Amino acid sequence: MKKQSIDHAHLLVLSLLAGEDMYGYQMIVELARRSDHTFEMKEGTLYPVLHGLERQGLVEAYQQEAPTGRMRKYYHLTRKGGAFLKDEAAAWQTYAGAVNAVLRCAPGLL
Amino acid sequence: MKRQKACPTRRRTALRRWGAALLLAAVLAGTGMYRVLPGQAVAVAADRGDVDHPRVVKWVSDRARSGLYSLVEGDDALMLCLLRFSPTGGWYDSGSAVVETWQNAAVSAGICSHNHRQDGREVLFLFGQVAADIRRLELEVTTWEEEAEALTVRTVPVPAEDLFEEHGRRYFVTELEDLSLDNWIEGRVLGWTDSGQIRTSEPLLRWYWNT
Amino acid sequence: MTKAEYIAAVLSALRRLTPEERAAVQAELDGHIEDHMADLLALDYPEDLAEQRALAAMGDPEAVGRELEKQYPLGWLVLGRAAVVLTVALSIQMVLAVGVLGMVLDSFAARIYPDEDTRLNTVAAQERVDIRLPVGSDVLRIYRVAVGQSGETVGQWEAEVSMCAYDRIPGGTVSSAIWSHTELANPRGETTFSGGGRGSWWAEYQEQYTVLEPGDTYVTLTYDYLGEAHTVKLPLPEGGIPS
Repeated sequence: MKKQSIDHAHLLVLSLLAGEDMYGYQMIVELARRSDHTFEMKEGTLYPVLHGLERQGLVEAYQQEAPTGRMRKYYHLTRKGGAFLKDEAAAWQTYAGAVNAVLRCAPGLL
Repeated sequence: MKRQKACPTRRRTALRRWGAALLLAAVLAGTGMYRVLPGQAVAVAADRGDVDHPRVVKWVSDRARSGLYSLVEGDDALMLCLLRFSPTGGWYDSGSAVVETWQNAAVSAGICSHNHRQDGREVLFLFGQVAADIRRLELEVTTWEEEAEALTVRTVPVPAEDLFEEHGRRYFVTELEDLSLDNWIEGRVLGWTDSGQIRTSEPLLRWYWNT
Repeated sequence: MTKAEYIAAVLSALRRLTPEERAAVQAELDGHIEDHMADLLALDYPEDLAEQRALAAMGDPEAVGRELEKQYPLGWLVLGRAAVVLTVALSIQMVLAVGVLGMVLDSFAARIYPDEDTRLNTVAAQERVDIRLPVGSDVLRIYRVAVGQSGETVGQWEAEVSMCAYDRIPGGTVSSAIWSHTELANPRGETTFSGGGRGSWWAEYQEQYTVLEPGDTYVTLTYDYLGEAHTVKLPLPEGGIPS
């Protein structure tokens, strides 16, 4: 499922941030937890995704002090990002529904 | 204890910097520290020359296109000034000539001369205001000729296209060729009406600038 | 590979980033690896194994670097830098304009306390006055009348009238042409245009002179330009001309 996780990394990251602001490592942990380890991306590749979303204005970043005393970079979903997520999620639902519908017709699969 | 510090993107940084630059530009242009428009330099020249409520009547250029001249009408006076542009500071006035018009004489005239240091060229403009019935103008000038060692009187007609009307008043601005202030002794402008009457101006005052 | 080596490998692919941006990426990656190692250490991993595991989970550093660099387009950086260049140029412009401010202060000095040196060699008597004439958009101010002798003609007594001119609006400009419309005359109506002064666009100073004879008690200053005429009779200071 490696190819799938990279293509949809943007969608997954945005949906993670829809709930709360997170920092990079937190997103990796949360993604693994919620998908029951189905989605486990190469952690380094998360950052090009995040910086790309930042460049597009879908997320914005800020620094905040961590309990360890270090400054951590947190990411926040912007209004534009929220709207984009909604559209993409709806498109995904349509797509998944269509795939499921076709699979249901094949005998012995589902 | 939460401590937040924003991380701006390249786009946001660039937009902020442009905002600051444009704000600074607006301050410079608005306060006149940088005169973006030639009209701003005209206002400064008018203030110095005591021309109240200046309004530009016409923009002229000399034949060699060395500068932008502005004919400016005020409450009691008419001014012709040369405007130049410099990258530092913008437009500035490089010398002007003022003619009194408060007496409402039939012909009010003045001369504005600029000597360009770069090529020694002299640009001489004759300008002024005339009454509505004046149809034709001529400059009568007395010069001292070195070789002949004698005074010579010449008449130079003002081209008809250099006499024009603006906002109900009549003005003239013309560049004088083959004349120099160096040997200029005296000059006056003569105006002819339709009925052939002649009106004369006061003797022309010399305003002379090195540029 | 150590954590430092890993991060250095990522940064080596980030050629187009500014030093600040590189530092931010370094801090972010460093923090991420630290957080992962902390979780592994909490599960009783030995430190070097925790580091290896965390780095392995990060993926190929060069690939990460290449992908990261794509997210930093040159366009906005160039635009931002162009704005900085423009701001510097405009600031220089402003400094130049403000440098002119020193002369603008002239405009204020002239209306508070004008005081130029006398050009007379010997001063028999002098008196400060304060006569202000509105002329056009400017103010002509006579601030001193003196009687004395200049070096030019021996035995000749002269009156010196010290004046200045400035725009009605503080900081505004005035032209030196104003002096060509003034005339100083002695009681016999004789005018000799002799004078001297200094000036800038913001304040003009001038001293004008006229010849006196024993028994003269006043001089007259006239201004005539653009339909505006003023005549001021200036009494000579106490002491007048020594007889």
